[in-house]
Amino acid sequence: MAATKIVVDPITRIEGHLRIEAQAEAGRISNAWASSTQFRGIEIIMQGRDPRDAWAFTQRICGVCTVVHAVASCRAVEDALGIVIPPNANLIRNLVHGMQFIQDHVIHFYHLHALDWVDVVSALDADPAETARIARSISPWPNNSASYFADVKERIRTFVASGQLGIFANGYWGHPAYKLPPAVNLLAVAHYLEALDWQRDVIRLHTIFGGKNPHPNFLVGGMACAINLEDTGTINAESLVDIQGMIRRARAFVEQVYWPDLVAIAGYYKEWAAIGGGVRHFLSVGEFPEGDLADLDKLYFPRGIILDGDLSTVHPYDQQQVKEYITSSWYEYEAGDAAGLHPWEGETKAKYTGPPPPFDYLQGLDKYTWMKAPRYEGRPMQVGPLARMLVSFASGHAEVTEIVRATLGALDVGPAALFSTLGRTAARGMETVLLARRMEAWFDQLIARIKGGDTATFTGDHWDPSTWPSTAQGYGFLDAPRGALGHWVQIRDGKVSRYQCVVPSTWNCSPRDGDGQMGPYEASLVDNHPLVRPDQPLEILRTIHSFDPCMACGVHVLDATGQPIVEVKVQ
Amino acid sequence: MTEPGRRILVIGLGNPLMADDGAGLAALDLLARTWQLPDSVELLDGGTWGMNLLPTIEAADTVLLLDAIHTGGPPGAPVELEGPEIPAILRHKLSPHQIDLGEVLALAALRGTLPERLVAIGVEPAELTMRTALSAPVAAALPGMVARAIARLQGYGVHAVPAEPAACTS
Repeated sequence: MAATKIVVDPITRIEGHLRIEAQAEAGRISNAWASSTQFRGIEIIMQGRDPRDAWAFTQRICGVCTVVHAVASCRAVEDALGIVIPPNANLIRNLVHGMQFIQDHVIHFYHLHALDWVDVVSALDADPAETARIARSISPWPNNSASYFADVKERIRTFVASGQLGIFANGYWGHPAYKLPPAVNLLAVAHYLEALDWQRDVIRLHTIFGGKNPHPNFLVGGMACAINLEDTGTINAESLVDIQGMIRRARAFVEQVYWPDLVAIAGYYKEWAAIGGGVRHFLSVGEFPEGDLADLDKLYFPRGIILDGDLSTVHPYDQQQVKEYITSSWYEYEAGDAAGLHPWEGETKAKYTGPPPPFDYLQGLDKYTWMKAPRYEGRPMQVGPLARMLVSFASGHAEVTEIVRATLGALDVGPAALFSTLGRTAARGMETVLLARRMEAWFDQLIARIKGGDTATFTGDHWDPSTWPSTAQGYGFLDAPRGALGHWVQIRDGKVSRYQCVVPSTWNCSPRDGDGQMGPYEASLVDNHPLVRPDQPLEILRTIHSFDPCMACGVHVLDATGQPIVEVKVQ
Repeated sequence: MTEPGRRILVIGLGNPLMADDGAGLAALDLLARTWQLPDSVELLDGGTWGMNLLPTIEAADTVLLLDAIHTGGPPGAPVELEGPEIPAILRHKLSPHQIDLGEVLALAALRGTLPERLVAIGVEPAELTMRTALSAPVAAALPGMVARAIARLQGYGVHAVPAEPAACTS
C-alpha cells in the first residue's frame, strides 16, 4: 500500500514559515520533513553596524521570544570587547529573562498546546460541581467553586449559541485522540481564560526594567535602567515593590494553576510518554548566571551535553564544535554543499532551488528548507526545556532532581518516559516551577545589593570605540525558553564584519544533514508515532507543539472566509 | 455629541513589510493626517500585536478596525464587516505567531468583554509578499477607506473636521 502524503502548513494563501510534511501508513507516520519556508537573513542586515546597536536589530528576529536575542547579542559583544557587567545588571537580566520564560511557557501551554489535549466543546457536557471537586483536590487556587465553573460553562454555551457557528468548526473537536473527561476540559478552559489576565499583569516587569514590552531596552555593558530609591524617574522603591508583587503572583499561578493542570492532564495521556522521543542527543548551553558570566559553575541551569540518552555522563560543551550544514537547505557555501562551517566562518548566501510557490510537496527534494542544519561534532541535538532538565538531572542539580523524581512518581512512569512528546511538555512545566521560585532569590539579592549601597547597572569600560582592538570576535550564549541560542559576532574597525545566530528552532527544526541524519522535529515524528486521521493530524500537532515551535513572523491578514489557519493536505 | 465616557478606538492592523497587509496602517496614517478628531477617539497602530490587543479592545465601547480583508473579491474592492460577520475563531495553529485577531475576538467573546460595536473597514488585498509598498489598486482605495471610517464615526456622533493642510516649511 502506498503511503499517504500529509502536508501541515500554517497559512495557505500566504507564504508560511513552518511547514511539516509526512507520510503515513496504517495509522503510523513513516517519514517526515520539517521545512521553514521563509528566509530570515538578519545576519546580512547586521554587517557594517555599530556592534553596540546589534541587540536592537537582532531582538527583532521575533516578536514572541522577545528579550532573548537582545541578551545573547549583548553577551556576544561584551565577550568580544572584554566587558564584565555589574552584578545588578546581571540580576536584572535574569529577572527579565526569567519572567520571559515563565510567561512564555504558560502562554505556550494554554494558548497553543492545550487545544491539542483539551476538547473545548466537550466542556459543555461538564458538571461544574465535578470540576470544582477536581480543582480543589489538586490545588488551593481560590477560583474553585461550582458556581465559578458554571459561569465559565455558560459563557462557552452562549458563545457557541451566538450564531457564529463557525467558531469551533475548524478545530479537531471530537477527535478520538482526546481523552479528558468533560469536567477536566472545563477546568482547563477556565484556566485558559484566567491566564490571559495573569500574563498581562506579570509581564509588566519588562516595562519597568526595560521601558516597554515587547522588545524591552537593553545595553551593552549592563542595563539601561538607573536605580534610585527616591527618584520617580528611575527604578525606585515603589517600582521594586510592584515587581515583588508580580514575582509572587507569577509563582502562585505557576504552582497552583499551570503545574497542577499539566500533571492532571498528563495523567490521561500517559501513552504519549512512549511516543515522539526522536533525537536522543541533548544540548544545554546553560543559563541564569548567578555570578560572573565567565564562571560557568555558577549557571543555575548547567551547561552540558547528553549523548544517546545516557544520563550517567554529562559531556562538556565547546562552542568551537558547532558547525552548520546546508546539504538540504536553500543556501550555497564557497567551499561547496558538503562543507560544515563554524559560525565565525559562517556564510548566509541564499540560493533557492525549490519549486515556484504555490507548490504541492517539498518531500523527496534534496533541498527543502531555509533552515540550516547545525550539528555538534556531527550530531543533531535536541534543545529546550527537556535538554535543560536532562543535563541538570544528570549533573545532580538538587531542585531539578527533586521535581523530576516527584513528577515521574506522580505519573507512575520511569525515567525512560522523559524521552518523549509528553517528556518535553512536562519538562517545560518543571523548569517553570523552578524559575518561578528562583526569581524570588534573584530579587532578594538585588534588594540586598541596593540596600548595601550598590546601585550600579552599567559599566562604561570599553564603551568608547577608541578603546577597542582593530579586530575582535565574541560568542554570546543563552539558553532561551525554546533552547540553546548562540550569537557569534566579529568586529573589524569598530563595525560588525560578520554576525551569525544559531537559534533554538534551527537546532530543533533542522533538516537532514549530509549523513542523512534527521533533525529533531523529523526524528520525533517517526518515533513510534500514531496518526489516526490524516485529514485531522492532531497527533502531529501534539509532537511539534511539544517543542514550542517559533519561526520568523508571518503576516496577519484578516481572513473573512474563515479558512483554516492550518492547511492540511492529504493525498 | 458622543456620550460622555464612551471610548471609541480606531485600530490599524497589519504588517507594512508585507505589501498590502499594511493597508490598515496606511489608512490609519492618512486618517490621522487629514482629520481632526476629539479626544474620545483614540487612534492606535495595532501592527501585528496579536494577543497584546486584547486588553485594548476589551476596554473600548466601539472599535473600528482598519485592515486588509480577504473575501475573494477584486483587488482594491471595499469590504465592510460588522459584529458577528468578523470571524472570531478559536482554532488549531502551528506557532504562537498565528495568534491573530480572530483568536483575540473569540477570547473576548468567551470572557464576555466584546465591545458593543465592532466594525471592520477594509480593502481586498492584491499582493501579500515581502515588499514595503502597497499595490496600485490598494493604494488607490485608501481615501475611500478613510471616508468610510469617518462616515461611521460621524454616525456615532463624533465631531470630525478636516485638518488644516500642514504649512510648507521647506
